[in-house]
Amino acid sequence: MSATLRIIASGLTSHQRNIDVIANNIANMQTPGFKKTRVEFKDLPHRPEALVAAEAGRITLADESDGEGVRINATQTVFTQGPLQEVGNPLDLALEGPGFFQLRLPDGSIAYTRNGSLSVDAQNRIVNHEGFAIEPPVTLPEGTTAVRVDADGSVWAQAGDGEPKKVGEIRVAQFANPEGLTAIGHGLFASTEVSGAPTVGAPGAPGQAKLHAGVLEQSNVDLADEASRLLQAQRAYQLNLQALRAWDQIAERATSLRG
Amino acid sequence: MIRGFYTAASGSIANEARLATLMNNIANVQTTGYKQDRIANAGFYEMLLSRLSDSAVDPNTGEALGTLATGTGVGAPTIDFSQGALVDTGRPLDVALTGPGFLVVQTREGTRYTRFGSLRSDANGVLVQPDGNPVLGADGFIRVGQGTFRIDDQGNVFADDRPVGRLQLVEIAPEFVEKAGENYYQAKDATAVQPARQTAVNQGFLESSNVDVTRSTVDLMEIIRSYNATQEAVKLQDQVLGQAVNELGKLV
Repeated sequence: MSATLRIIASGLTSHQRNIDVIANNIANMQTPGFKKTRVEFKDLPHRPEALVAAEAGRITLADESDGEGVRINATQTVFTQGPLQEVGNPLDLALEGPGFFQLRLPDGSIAYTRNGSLSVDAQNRIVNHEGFAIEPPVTLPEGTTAVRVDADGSVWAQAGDGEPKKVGEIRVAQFANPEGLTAIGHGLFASTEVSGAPTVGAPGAPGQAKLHAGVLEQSNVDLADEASRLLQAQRAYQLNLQALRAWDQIAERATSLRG
Repeated sequence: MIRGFYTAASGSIANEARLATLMNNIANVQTTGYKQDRIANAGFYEMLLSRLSDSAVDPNTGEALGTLATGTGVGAPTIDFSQGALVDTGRPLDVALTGPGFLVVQTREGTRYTRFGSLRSDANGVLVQPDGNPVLGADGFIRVGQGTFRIDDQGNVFADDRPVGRLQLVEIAPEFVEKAGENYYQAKDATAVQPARQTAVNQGFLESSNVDVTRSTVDLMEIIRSYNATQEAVKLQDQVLGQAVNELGKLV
């Protein structure tokens, strides 16, 4: 009996997690560069014939097997392209095609992101909305009044009516297996053994993403799609609850037989 | 009369086993490529009853009285291989199969088969399952690289429009397929594995679980009622036995 209860518990836990992930996707519908995550389930071997065997003309109650029901196979980030939206700010950058912006974290490691909503900090460095510097670093000279980013990643700064001067280059990174990256929060990803090492290059170069300035990549969450997933996930959870209730009724009946 | 207790009890236990199978289906209502288990009750072997004492016939064999069945168990489960609905995901590495076939995966335990089509490429660009086991092509591993990725309905794989391999698709007679867990199946007999003829590949789709929610809910109710009925049968036997012991045996 308690093996059955474990199956139901595995269902409730997994479907709860699915609801959490979908809710997180919906919450980030307006986050630039956000990539939705989806939960993938896997079944675990269920051997009912081991539970009760009729063949030999006798009832055999098997040892309780562990690990039946369902588990989470993977929570997977889906790196499909988000729609590009014109915003006008010259430091709002978007990538078209697979690839990532690189950011230098305070601990010295490099993080990867699709969110190209950049700005300038107090030291005139180009940083993301969290204040992490773009890698390789680009610092604007004192007195810059206008800035421009070309499709090849070159950053041009202009002071007053002077000639624009090239002050740095934005580089993008490409992975053999971007789905192997781990999410480290704030829309940032870290490379892993599974993702492979990045190939860094100029945007627009062969095999690298195209860069658009004055444009932001919207989240790739589709509300209609996500809402229908949420409904399905809720129904799946409810069905598992119903199963729990059925189990409870039967267990009550069995224990109150001598009533 | 005592036999009746065990007959009723076997009904309760069979219902518990059916419930466990149903729960397992319900837990996997959202598992990609999952195929539901079907379970049927099976009667115990019937026994031949003979009267051995005070018989006019041969005292060694006795006189045959007829047969007696002593309860029910559950038969071996069958897998319902009906097609699951295809869900549009738009992800290039998602493939859903239509038709009876399977993808072939090489695992440490040997060759496994699956309908789970959310594929990945690993750090070397090899097409793999989420657990890292490679999905086999007709000529070994398939390297998809970094560029655009396309699979046609025959399973031919193109990376940057260059053919790089062909997914190995097989069909296995249902009675030779058993579940190995983790979304894998295995073949009981390797000779039953045949190249696929009626299976098509759909890129950008996933096959959802074929668990029938309505049917599962009805089955749940049916099992509860059936379980209650067998419990009533046990109670009834108890009452009859109680009467035999306490009332019939009373001396005035």
